Amino acid sequence: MAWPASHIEETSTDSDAVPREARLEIRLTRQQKALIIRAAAARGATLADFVRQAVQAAAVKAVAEAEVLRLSVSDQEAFAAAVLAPREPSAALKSVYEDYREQMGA
Amino acid sequence: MLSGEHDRSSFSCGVPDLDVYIREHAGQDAKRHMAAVFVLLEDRPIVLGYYTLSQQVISVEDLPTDTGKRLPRYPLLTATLIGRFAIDAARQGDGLGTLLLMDAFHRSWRAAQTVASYAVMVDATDERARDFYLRRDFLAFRDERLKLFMPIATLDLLFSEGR
Repeated sequence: MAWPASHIEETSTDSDAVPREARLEIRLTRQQKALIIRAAAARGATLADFVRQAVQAAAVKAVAEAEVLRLSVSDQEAFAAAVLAPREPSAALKSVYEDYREQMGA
Repeated sequence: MLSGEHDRSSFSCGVPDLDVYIREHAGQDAKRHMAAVFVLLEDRPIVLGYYTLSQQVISVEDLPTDTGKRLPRYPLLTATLIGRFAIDAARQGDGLGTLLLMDAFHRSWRAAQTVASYAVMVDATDERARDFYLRRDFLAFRDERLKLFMPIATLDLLFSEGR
């Protein structure tokens, strides 16, 4: 291969028989690929299976973390204080609610 | 609730992302239960405004445990997120946004009777939107400038009156 980087591709040595419906092709350095091949061998997995499992696990973790809102300590304090000791709604908000009830026919 | 009968092809609020969302992606999100999409209509089935609701989890893991003890489910608190909120540009300034926001409050408050939620969160698109929410009792964070929140407990006080 004339490119400076290698590919990770699925091969026919794929061990399980689940039909694969999509392909992912990425370029990486020779060093990265060599390391991944060693890692897969150490686990006794095919290259494709190793990459699939590792990437899937990393993706699940990243999605779960993205869905959690992480605030600064002072923002966490402000949030906790406000939900534990709620402010009264303002007169303006109460009057919006009155309008809303009228408009919605409630 | 958004459905196929609602015409949103010409919806334009001035924020391209919000326009593309309601025209092209909202239907899919609603179908997959990624977000609930609510639309504002008058007499014709033309979308004048919309908002989305979904669940959000807020980490308060850095708070001392004595505060945490007063918060069930600490250190992860659930909230209701208004992910998107928009009014058609032709109708901005008519007070529709305020009514639509009240609808989002009321719906979130009712949902919180079934699925625990501490607050309605909102992501403001810009400073103008931030001011809009602040004037309607939303509370600001100090560091997250474009995120605001309304405690469900304040909505309890608002909606429980006279019951």
